[in-house]
Amino acid sequence: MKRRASRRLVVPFAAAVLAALILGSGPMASVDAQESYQRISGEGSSWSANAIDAMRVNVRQFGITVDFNPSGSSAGRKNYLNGTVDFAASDIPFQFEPEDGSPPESPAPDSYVYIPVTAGGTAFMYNLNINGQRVTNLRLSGENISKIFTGVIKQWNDPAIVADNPGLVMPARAIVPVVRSDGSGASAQFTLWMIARHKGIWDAYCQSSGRAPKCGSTSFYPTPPGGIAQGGDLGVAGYVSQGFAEGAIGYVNYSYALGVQFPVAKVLNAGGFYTEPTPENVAVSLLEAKINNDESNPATYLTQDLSGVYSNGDPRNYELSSYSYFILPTKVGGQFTEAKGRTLGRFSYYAMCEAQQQSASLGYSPLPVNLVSASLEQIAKIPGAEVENINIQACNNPTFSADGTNVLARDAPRPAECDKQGAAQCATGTGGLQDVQTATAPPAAGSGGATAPGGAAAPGGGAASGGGAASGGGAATGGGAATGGGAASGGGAATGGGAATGGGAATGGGAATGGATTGGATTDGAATGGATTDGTGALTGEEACDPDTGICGPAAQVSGGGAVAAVAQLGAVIPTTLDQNAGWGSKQTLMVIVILFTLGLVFIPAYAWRQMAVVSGASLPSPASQPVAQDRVSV
Amino acid sequence: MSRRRVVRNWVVSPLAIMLASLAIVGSASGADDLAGSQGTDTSLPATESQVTVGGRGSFESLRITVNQTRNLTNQAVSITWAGGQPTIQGPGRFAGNFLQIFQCWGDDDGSVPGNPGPPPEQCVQGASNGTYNGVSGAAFPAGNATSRVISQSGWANFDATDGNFDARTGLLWRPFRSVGGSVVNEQVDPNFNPVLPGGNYWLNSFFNIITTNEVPGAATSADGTGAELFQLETGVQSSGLGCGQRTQTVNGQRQIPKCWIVVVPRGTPTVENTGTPLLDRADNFGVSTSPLAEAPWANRISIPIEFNPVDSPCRLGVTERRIAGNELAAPAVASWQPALCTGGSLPPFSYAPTGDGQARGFISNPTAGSPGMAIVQRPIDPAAVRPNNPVVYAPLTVSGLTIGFNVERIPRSPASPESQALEGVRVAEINLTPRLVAKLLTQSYGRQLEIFSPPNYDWLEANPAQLVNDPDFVQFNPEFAQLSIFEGRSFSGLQLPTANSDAAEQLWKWVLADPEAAAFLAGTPDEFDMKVNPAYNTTAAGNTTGNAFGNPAPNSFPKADPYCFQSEPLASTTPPPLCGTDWMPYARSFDETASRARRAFDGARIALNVFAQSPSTAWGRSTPQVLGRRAMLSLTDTSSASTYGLQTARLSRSGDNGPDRTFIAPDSRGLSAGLAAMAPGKVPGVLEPVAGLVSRDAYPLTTLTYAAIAPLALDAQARSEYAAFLEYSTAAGQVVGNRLGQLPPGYVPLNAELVAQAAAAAQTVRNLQPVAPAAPPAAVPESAAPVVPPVTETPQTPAPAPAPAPASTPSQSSTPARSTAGSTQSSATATVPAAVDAAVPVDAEVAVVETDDALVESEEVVAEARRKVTATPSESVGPIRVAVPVLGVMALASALMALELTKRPRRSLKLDDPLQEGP
Repeated sequence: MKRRASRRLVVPFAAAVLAALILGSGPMASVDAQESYQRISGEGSSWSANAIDAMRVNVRQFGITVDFNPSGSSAGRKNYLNGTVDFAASDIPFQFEPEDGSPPESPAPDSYVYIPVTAGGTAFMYNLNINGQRVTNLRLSGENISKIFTGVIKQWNDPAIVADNPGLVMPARAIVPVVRSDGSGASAQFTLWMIARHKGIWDAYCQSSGRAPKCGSTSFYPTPPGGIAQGGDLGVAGYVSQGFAEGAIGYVNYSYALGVQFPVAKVLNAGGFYTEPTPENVAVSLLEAKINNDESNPATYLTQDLSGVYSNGDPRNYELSSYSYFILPTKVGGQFTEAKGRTLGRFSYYAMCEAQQQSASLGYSPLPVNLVSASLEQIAKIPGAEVENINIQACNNPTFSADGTNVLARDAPRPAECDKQGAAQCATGTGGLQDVQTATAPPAAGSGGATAPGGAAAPGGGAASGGGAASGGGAATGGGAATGGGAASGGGAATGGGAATGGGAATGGGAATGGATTGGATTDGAATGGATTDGTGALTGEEACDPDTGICGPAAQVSGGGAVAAVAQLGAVIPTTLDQNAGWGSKQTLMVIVILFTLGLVFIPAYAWRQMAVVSGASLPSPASQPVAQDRVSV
Repeated sequence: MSRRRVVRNWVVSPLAIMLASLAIVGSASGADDLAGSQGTDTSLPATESQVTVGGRGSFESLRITVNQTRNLTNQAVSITWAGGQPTIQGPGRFAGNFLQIFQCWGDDDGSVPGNPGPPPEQCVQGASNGTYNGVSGAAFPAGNATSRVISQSGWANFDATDGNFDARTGLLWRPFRSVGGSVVNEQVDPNFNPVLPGGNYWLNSFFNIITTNEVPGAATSADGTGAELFQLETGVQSSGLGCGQRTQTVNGQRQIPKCWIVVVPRGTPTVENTGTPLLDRADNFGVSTSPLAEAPWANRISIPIEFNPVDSPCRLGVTERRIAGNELAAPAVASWQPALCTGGSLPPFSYAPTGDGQARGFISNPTAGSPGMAIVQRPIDPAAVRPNNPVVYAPLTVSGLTIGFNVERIPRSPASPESQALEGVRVAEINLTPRLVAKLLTQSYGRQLEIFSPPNYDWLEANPAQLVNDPDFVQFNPEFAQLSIFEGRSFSGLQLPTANSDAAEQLWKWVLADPEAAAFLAGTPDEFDMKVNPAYNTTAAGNTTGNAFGNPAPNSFPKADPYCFQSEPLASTTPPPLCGTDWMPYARSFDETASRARRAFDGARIALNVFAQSPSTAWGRSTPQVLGRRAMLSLTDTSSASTYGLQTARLSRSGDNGPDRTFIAPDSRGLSAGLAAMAPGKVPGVLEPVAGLVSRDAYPLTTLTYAAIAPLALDAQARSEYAAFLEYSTAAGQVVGNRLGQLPPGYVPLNAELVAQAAAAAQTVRNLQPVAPAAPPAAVPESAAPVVPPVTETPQTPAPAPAPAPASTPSQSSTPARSTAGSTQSSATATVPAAVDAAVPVDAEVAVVETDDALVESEEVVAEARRKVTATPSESVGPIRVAVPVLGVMALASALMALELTKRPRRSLKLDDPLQEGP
């Protein structure tokens, strides 16, 4: 069949030649000369690198070449000051007086401006399995995150984490906190947040790490015991995603978790909800960011004060939301010229406007109008920038609306009820595994078992049943409240049974899971709270069953109430309610059957029709019939 | 027409420049050109514009050939030479007799009548060592040989009028003059001190150590020949040169400047260092004068080059139409983007490379801000596609995954004279089997784990340190028995991207389908007693984690071994441990893996700084590998390999385990056959690769991407613009070439059948009509649905609240593509009435709510119907209430499937063809 073979080669060739003829000397032949741009280069933040990379790739079609080296915010600022790059990307401003003892940075006054370039969340990407199934719905309170990254909490089945996750049977596995080894704005933001929210935990860790008294925020995170340090967000995400890294949790920009398809922890906010840094949530959160509006001081103008974000009580708030910045030159010098300023002005304008359209699909959040507007004025200060081309009317930013509100924040959905602090836990996945549910053991009813239908009542139902359970140990949890976990006011409000508030998160939740054991569990829960506050790891690691191996040994000899807590968890292994919002019920089974049936009907007629076509030798041969593939394999 | 004739046509056609870098002569002729060697010809194939120019004076015998001098863009060209003196190996490796190569702009300065060329001020040179404190590794010629300092005050050859004298330093500089007229007098600030605020060391805004394309030293082997790849830059990359852009002002008119490749041949130090104090110490320093100084420049050899225009017609500040997805399509999209802007009727298209899984989600489950079109390899799981929102697939690009390499020969001593003669010359061919690739991907060679000191693994004892020590590799690459490798770290594993991709999954499937590789991965030692790293063992029992690796095939490249190296404490601090991801760091993309291999530099932070004050500064970046001793392997795509001029490995097929294996190159022939070897997958009209012995010509890692789009979720303008994108990119955009708008080298064009399928898909994207909401479900008996006009003409009547959908439309009511399909098909579809959004409750209310935002622009009625559906409480969906709408949805879906099929009659024909082609 050589002839046929040759025809198959000729056809595309002929088509190609024809196309070339039709096009004349090519599509570009008639193009008028357009402006050309001088190549520019930048360096810095790996946290925002996915967004910046998308920008620089897309401006190529306008003839603009931008090089960007995501070597970390600290390196970016350093090399900007050394003049080896034209602009820097940094999550934090220049460090005139570093709080961690590193040498001060001293840019010449009035030689630079800041513009926020993208918003996003510092996410806690983790690698955890239960019974061989990947966990995708982990929840953590801020306190627990702080304790994890300071080595206080060392085991995934620590009662404090168990309390965050009433629907999960946390495994007896060591936590491996993964931090940044390079100078990183993400580390600085993370420590800033910790100092604002959980200062005692950070201070204690900093003291023990030998840094004291330089215990302010730091770009150089001290590696916790049992932890590991990796370079750049890419390194952290790369490490956490490895099979051997089960038990690892690291902080990276949300976009990296999307890229490697890993989940991120939902973090408890001041509103009592566990949230993840979706673009919408980040937009909501940053409504409370205080932007320095003192234009007279370029060293701080447009920089962020995130304390309002940390304590924002909006249920959608994600506390570790922040902006990342470009540092742009306002003076020529070294290798930076007006010609480069023209390119940089254009690129920055693109970054503020059109590029924000793709932020959300990459895992970032588009900038709001007030910041874009202020940034455009800053961009105009770049020497060589074409001021006439920098106007907000033409700026196509997805957050803009006619009335000036941030559309993204306005339309952000409320978290589901099962994300509320309390007994229920959503099964839905997070981060790069949104579609992967994690089987949750629904919160068992209270000891009486009478309130089972409460779970079925869908929204709020979970909370209600939790309340039921809690009622037993209500008094006990009061003790938990003493730990100061009491911040979880939301939980309290929700359940109505003030019980659940106290140990809040921690202990009250524990009570809810342990359906069978009532008062005992909660009492121990209270004890747990106290214990973890003291930072003693006494209660960790003692599990009656290892959920990974499935091997159940004799109940471990445990100090304190840990054993009881573990028993309480065992109760949770057995799903007791089927007709539950997050569970599996007859309705769900029916749906699956229906879907399968539907698929069958989708494919069978089409398949049959194709078969008919093949058999009849019709003019429409099958594109997909199995025999075709087999024949070809035998060639 | 005979096949031979066809092949010849192919070669002489413009398409021959495709896969330029992959021009392994043997792969085209079927025979090795040099028996027993891995090939020495790493040059790119000759083109019609190949030029050879001779030297002068003491370099009279030198003949320099550039394989392509016209229709150029930002690309690698091949510079080869003969008749040179063998490079002198000195304490500095390039002590003498080497070439220096630059790109320059400007008119002939008249200095050499026989060989017109530009003045030395107008060449990009002198940045290869351009950082404060210098950077080591790649730049081997010494001293001013890598600089623009042409003399110093007090030297015998000093003439202050010859350049720009900097009195502060006493240095005489050759200034750089840009095409725009700016002049850079001195490239560095001598007073710069990094400790003091302000100031800049590097002062040249036009090029620096990162952006320069100069070749500071190229070696000539013992037989007087040499070869080098030179990365040409247009004005877009190098604005000081402005090549291909209207950047030169002549008499008030802007014109495209003349551009040149200039080769400065350097002789022995005793000649080249004349007039300098270094002459006496030539043995120590080698040639250390600037090539731009008067004497060396007198020997320069100029070759004029012509670029295609590169000025972009796209204007900033216009709302873009967004696309996202598979990285393998990115180079092609980048080329199409400016062409699509031409004429101004279309907006710019933006392209964000993302993982395929994420890209599928943009289409199957769009949220606010999702791009309307995704590029993927595998289709969306049909179960995730809502029947009322079908997905259209258009084939888009054909390229391949490839293992690109940059390996320079180091003869193993004692070396034969033949072997010595090839020292430093790049290896042209490497053959790899699935098992060898499996070894490279599984950290099974010692040097992947010997992070300064090896882990204490029993299984590792019998394993080779790196590829060159593995008899399994040498049996297919016999020349490597004569070679050694300087840095085994980068020759025992691959440079890999971090992200998840369908391409990664395809690669793993190819490996796992091979019996030899599968046995190795399952823990059976190979015949040379090499064992797989148990962290990758594909049996649960053999795997250190207790979980079997590779089931299902991974869609990324894990570095699964947990070993980390802990250094001894330093004086002031303890360095953090180094792990596998530090030792072989991930890259962000296939583009970056290719660029790493080209530069032989992966930036691993593994250089210990013994003076470090804190753990975070203890590990610094390694330096680029030494010129002439480079060895690096990268997993990349054929287009990126071509862009960076990498050699690419030939691969054998899964199951081809006999003694006489076929190794197939990722060239146009291999990729075309690889495309023909693909088979339909579970979604009709979407081909997927077949791992197995399909055809002796088929390159096993051929990749085919599809544009996926759900037209009904988009407004008419979006549909029309995406359709225009498809119409351009799958027709005119499939012509291989270097012009903007063409298909870049490294791809092969879609075949005629796929082009036809793409055209039909574009039509569908433009014209597909939504199926109207059906009559109340109870009133939908099979084959008796009432015909109503398409949705766009339906008055917006509110539907009855709990029972969702009001009408139905037989599917043949809409597209032209469908009406051409003939009676067979219409009878098939006519019996299946299309229906209904009604069953939407089945796919869960959450999903519908999420899509609402994205659908705001789509047909109002559809949106309205959805909202109604959403309002239906899911609790009310009892068995009976489900059954009725389900019937509707089944009918609708079936109709749509049939419709999908009938839209691609011509594409089906193609599948007929290979069937006819017997062995």
